[in-house]
Amino acid sequence: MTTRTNRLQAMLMAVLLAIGAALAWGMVAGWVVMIILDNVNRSPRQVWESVKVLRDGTPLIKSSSESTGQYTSATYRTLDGAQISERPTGDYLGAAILWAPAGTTPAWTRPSWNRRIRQLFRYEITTEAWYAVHDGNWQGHAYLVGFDVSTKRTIGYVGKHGFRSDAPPVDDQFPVSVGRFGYSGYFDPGQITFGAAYILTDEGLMQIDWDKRSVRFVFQEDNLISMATWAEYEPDDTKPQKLLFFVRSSDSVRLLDLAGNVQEMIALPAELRNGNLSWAPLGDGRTLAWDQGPTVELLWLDATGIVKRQKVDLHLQQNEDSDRKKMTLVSLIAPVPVICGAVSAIVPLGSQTAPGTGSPWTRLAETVADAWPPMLIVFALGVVLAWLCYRRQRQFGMPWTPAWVVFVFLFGLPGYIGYRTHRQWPTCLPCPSCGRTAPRDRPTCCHCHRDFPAPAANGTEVFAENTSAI
Amino acid sequence: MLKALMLKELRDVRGIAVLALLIYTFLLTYAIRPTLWWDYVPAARMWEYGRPSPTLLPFIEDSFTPGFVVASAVLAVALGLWQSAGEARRGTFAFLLHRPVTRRQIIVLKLSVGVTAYLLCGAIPLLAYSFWAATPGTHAGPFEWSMSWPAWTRWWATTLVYAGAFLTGIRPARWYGTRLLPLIVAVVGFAISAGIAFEYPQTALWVCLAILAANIWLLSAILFVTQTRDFS
Repeated sequence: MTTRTNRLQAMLMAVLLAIGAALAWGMVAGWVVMIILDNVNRSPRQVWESVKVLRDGTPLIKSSSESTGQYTSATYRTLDGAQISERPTGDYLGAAILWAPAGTTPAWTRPSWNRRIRQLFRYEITTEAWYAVHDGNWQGHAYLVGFDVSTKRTIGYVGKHGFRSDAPPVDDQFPVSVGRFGYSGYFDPGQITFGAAYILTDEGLMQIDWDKRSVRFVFQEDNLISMATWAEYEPDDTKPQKLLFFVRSSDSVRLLDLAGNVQEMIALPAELRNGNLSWAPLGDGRTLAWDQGPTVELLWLDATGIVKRQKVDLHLQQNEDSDRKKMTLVSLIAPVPVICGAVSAIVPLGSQTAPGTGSPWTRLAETVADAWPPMLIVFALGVVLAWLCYRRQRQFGMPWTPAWVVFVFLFGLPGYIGYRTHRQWPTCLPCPSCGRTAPRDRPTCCHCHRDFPAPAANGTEVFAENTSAI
Repeated sequence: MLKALMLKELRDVRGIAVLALLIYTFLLTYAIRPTLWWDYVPAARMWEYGRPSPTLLPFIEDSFTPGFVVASAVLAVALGLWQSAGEARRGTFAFLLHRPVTRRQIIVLKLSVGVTAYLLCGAIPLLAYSFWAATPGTHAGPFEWSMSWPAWTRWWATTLVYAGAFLTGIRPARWYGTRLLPLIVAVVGFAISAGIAFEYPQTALWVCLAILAANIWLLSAILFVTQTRDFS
């Protein structure tokens, strides 16, 4: 093994130990910090509000708060701010949730199998086990397959043309993107309503009738975004009378009956086309809709367009930790200059900034201005440890001093632990020639470069040379 | 001489290998016939909240894969420590290192025998489970061979834990000090690589290559300690 190889191995060993020390410190410090924070911070940490609608169409604001995992009771107020008492559940008008377009993922990603298979639970049928299986491609296909629970044999498949005994070819499978597969409001064959499942494929809304073993289109149209089932009840009867569907496209929401006939169509204004929609039909041809977010604008819509609009500020009092507090926590859990520097730089540079808050560089400057004390401590610690490393390198006459000093500075306390423990250090004794302490793992002093004197002879030495004289 | 050393290592690891096969056999039978123990071992009923449910989705939602991963990690730690710290505890390092072979050859032989024994003992139950799952009529759920890739990646990733344990055992440091640091790195590396391979199966090959690179790194550290440690 060459000397250079040995030194490289020493460096790799030190890096390994430094990573281990950082992980061990981080786990213990993180655990301690969490315990302290949980016990110290008992004030309400989060308040969030949502919109509720009464059956007469009056919107209310519901406030809930959470403190260290404990939920408090909700309070209600009108849009004018007047507090009102909680009403019985039956007084509220439910709102359908129409989800936004599913996000995109890079073409090279492929979901794991636990995201490509959905087991369908039909509690009334215990002898069959049905699954929805997706091929994993972004614009892919899915089919259903069923098994007999007792014999464990396949009992059939379901494609878009119906039930069949063999696996459906691709053109017979349901076209559905993997981002919408298995989620409520998209392709969710597990939601059974009156013995049938209603799923949204890339080609339209389809019905899978388990009792009749049939598949049909309820409403055929490409690029529908999401759907929600809607049951209409009589006022004094809990049994739903009619099953309807809301289907959302890019520019409208339609109300369909079971036959696929359009009962109602309302155009979506531009401000409601991108986010998740809450859709509450008021029963008089109007609908109350809003986009879920911190600033909600309630829109009353009918077939002609927007009838009325009203903005509501929902209070989201989430205690935002300051940059200084965040950096202090990072410094305690990872006292490593390179990590602290990366966190303070990458987070503001990589974050999305709201309009009017300046560029990421401005955000970086603000972060450094606020969080400099804990960062200064970590960097100062790095400098002190780097100096200790330099001093030890000089004391032991070790090579690669600049590399070791930079390593210890960048990796701080874990780096110094890795440096000190990566090898067995030789014994140091005073040199008889110069008097300075020098390591005794080599024949010469590392300071004055003179040979160490041989030990005094005591008559027990065994000499290997000059055996021919014996 | 090398052949004799190899046979010696095989004798040393056979105990852990037999234990591993017994544990894997139990996990396999529990996954394939979960009610076997329920029917024939009355004490088993005390462990359950009800009758065990059969495996429907092998490698996705089953009892075998999590148990296999945990057991493999524990056995890898035991094997690595037994081969390294066990020699020091029995005081046989001095005799071993005085054989007419280099230190490097001895350590590389130990590692070769250990990792081969571990991989074989882990591959047998994985293959058996895969063939069972691929056989029609064994479970009421779909199966494709690609479902087993994350399990195979975790089987390969456990070699990190073995190498970390071996390095921990051979380092001359205090147990309450820094001796366990390599094992901590290996376990965290194993957890991260296993998680990435599970969530992003298309990265399995790259994860395996990264594990190979990490194993080479740990091997380099092991050889460094071997060359510099005073075994007296």
